[in-house]
Amino acid sequence: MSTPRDIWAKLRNPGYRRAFAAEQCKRLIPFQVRALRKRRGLSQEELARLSGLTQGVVSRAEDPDNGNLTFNTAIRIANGFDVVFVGKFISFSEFEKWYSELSEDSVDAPSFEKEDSERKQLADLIGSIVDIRPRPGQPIAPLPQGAAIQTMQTARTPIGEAGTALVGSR
Amino acid sequence: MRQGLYAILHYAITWSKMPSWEFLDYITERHENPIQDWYGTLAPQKQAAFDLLVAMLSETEDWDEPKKSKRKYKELTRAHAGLCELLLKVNRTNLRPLGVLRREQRQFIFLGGCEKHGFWTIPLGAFSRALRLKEQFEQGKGGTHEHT
Repeated sequence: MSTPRDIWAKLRNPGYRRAFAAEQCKRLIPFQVRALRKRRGLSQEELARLSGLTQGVVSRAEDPDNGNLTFNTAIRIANGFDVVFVGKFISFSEFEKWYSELSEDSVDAPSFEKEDSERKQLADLIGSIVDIRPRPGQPIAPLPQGAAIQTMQTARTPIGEAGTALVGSR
Repeated sequence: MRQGLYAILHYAITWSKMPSWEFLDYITERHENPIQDWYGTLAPQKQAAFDLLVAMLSETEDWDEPKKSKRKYKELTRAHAGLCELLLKVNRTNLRPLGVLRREQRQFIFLGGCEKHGFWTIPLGAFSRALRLKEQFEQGKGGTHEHT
């Protein structure tokens, strides 16, 4: 990385550590808001409408040099994105890991609606898969022509006794 | 064969993690590092804010906000043409890390920094000094290394 995120050495200084912990909250939330808005292709006005805020508030929320962002605004913006804003106390190790991987891509978070839709699609897909495992008494599908078959033994398989182990060789 | 594959894989992983922008420190012929010298004079809060600004800009693909007033950098004109300042505000103090912006290489080369109070800077003459260093840099004197 051109700007190494190896901040651990610096964090050994208690003054720097406290300052960094405070500043990251003030500066990385605006970074995330901006990055997430851009990824969603939203304008500040659109995000403001979804969040029940004014465009000015969204603009200030994206500007780390512009006062302090309140929790209330962060929560409303999270609602606008249809994601969760988590105020979580974490260790510096955990923070370091998250910080080292931070990028405009890494802050992407899909909305609940999108995730829900994907889950439904996945459930439908799983439900539509035909169980092709052989059942007791069910004939095993023939191997392609030319394949030599060697019967090894009849094994008790988890799905029944008909699972004759076959080895195909060329 | 396998080593070649690993090399390609390593390159692909490294490339995928490459930041959008690269920040470099200019090192003078006397082995001075102007940005680190300035950084060392800052209070911890200002150091942290500066580090976070660099980290965020390195990962920000497009620095050009539609509103110029919202941009985190400014390319200077007139007497200081060719220099670029990063814009950082910490507790009503304006910090101005100075350098050269190379858009095509997606690089920012630090040449120093200052606090800006109206027409005054701390240290005094920071912009003029940065301009002199820029000339040295362009003449191939000194070198650069990765900003840390």
